[in-house]
Amino acid sequence: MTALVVFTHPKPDRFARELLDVTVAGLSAAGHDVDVIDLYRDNFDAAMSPGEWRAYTTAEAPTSADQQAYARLLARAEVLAFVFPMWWSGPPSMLKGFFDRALVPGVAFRLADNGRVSPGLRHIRRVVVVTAAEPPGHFPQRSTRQLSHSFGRSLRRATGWRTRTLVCWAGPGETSNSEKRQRFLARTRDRLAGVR
Amino acid sequence: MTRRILVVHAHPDPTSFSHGLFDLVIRVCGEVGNEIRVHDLYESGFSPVVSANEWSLRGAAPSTKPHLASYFDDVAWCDTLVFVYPTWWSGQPAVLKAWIDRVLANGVAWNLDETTGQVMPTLRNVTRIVVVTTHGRSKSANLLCGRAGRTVVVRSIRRLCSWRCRTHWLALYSVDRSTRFERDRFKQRVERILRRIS
Repeated sequence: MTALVVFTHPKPDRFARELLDVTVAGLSAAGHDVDVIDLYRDNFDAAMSPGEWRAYTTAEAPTSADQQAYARLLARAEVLAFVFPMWWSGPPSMLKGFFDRALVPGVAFRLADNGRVSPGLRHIRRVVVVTAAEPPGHFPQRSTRQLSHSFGRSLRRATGWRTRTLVCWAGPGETSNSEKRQRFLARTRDRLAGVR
Repeated sequence: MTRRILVVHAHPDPTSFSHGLFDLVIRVCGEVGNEIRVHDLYESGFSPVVSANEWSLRGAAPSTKPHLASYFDDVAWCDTLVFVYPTWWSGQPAVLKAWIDRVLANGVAWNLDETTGQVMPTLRNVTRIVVVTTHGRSKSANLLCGRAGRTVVVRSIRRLCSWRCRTHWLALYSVDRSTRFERDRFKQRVERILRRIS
């Protein structure tokens, strides 16, 4: 079994690293081989180009090398995990770019001639979201939390309706208090160890 | 009343329907003597990511980011923000999300209160936010998925603006299957709302 972790942080501080480490550790403990995509280290181009947009509208398979490399990793994943900070109650633009450019027709879903969309990543059984409110205490936290839940729902277009989502969300309390942070990390690791 | 309008647009294809909406917005807003400034993010080659350097300067003054100075000026100048974009994966395209992440920075859109650690909004000049967007999926599918892009605008960005700021959400759903009639009707609706507020 393979898990794919998509990690996003422009300059990982200690907490961001710890989030990634517990995610990898938890999923390994659950018996997965873990692949990690670090979007900033890969220098991923987040902007969909005009050529890619035309390919999207005509449902052609992606042609650029980075899209194909990610498509290969997605093709063998059974668990898809995202580790990122919440900015303005949404994912960072870099991660949004991963959605826009890596989850395209031919990879994430297929378009039939009658216009119907069928999922292309049905083998992904679980979606995991590990995220921290950042910077602490700034933004309406309730909507932030709802948003991390909605993440998994919109992904069901690619993964099928049976995919379940696990959200591990560190609120402002956890990000600012080191004792709570350690408890959150330990709990996250335990929860991820149950993702099969 | 003439308004100072900042139009922010992100779409890779200048022949697209979304770009047509952008042209419409520019035309209608310009007609009644408003002042307009435009951020066409694809045309200006706006960087779609927060760089490591910008991230380490997130608490610093805006003067430390001279490459974004003109964007900061326009945001502080306007009283109406208009976003024109296609909704992809229930949110803004990465380039527009990058505009939100990078331009709505400390000292421009908010200040941090040292004692309470809370954000103090500084975009008090903005009294209207208009969003013109297209969704590939139906309205019910969008409601089910939580309308993530809408949350970013009407909760997070709205909170930085004037307390009496109003938001107008103009969305065309199921655009992939829409007829010409529906698209024209949507354009008329956009035109009507923009005339009313300007």
